[in-house]
Amino acid sequence: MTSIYQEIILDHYKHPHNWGTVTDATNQTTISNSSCGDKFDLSGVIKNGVLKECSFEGEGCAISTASASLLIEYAKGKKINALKKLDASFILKLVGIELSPNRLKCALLPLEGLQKLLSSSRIPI
Amino acid sequence: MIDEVFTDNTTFNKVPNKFEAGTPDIAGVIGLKEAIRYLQKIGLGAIYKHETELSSYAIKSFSDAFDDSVYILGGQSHLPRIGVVAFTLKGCHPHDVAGMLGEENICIRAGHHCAMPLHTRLQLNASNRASFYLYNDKTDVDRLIKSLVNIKKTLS
Repeated sequence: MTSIYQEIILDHYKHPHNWGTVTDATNQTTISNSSCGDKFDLSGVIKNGVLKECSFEGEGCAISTASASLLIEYAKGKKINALKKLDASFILKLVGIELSPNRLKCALLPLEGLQKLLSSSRIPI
Repeated sequence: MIDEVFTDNTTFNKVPNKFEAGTPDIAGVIGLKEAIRYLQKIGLGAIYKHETELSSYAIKSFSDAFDDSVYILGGQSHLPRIGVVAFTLKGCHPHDVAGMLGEENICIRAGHHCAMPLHTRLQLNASNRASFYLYNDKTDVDRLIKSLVNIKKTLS
């Protein structure tokens, strides 16, 4: 069995990309998995139907943190309509590891967060 | 289970008989009796003693290996404790710890262990829990600690 804790996962866990809060964010949301205690705040700038900027911060396991880091890195600069179509199989390809059902929810939490962010109402100026 | 069957209609037995057709779980009953006999032969007192010895050995091993970077729920005292030791390792998410141990065929729990209010009070998102029983011995504890040392290195 191949370990799910491969270098790419551990690297994104220890040094997550796009960590923090976006300045002048137009949208923001929070996503959590109460059974693990994982919780991420996502913020982003949506302009002309494109996710211009996106960041996250919070607390999560290696799998959820790495998945968030990889997903947001991918999502930045992409069209909202395209991002709304991303599904579980996309995430599995992105993280490149096989996951048991109980860890699948860790990997999918950031996707749920991104979809929530994209559907959120704009922060009033 | 039916009561009566005709070519044009069927009447069913009353509950619970209706749902208990077929051979009863005879093997299960015989197995349960043997399990009780086995436990009585060893003695519940002896099992309790074995469990508490293992959990105090585990707690001592945890402190020796990790010092301040391990938090043991319920404190260092082994009494009145049975064969379970819940803990958190500093900087290591409990689900990662359990996942990585699982890859080495060491099975422990991660989560709230059906005690979410306690975790809320202790301000913990989750914890790990190693459970010992009659089938475990000190070498299992040693394997656990050795793997945890490596996991801590990998995750932090």
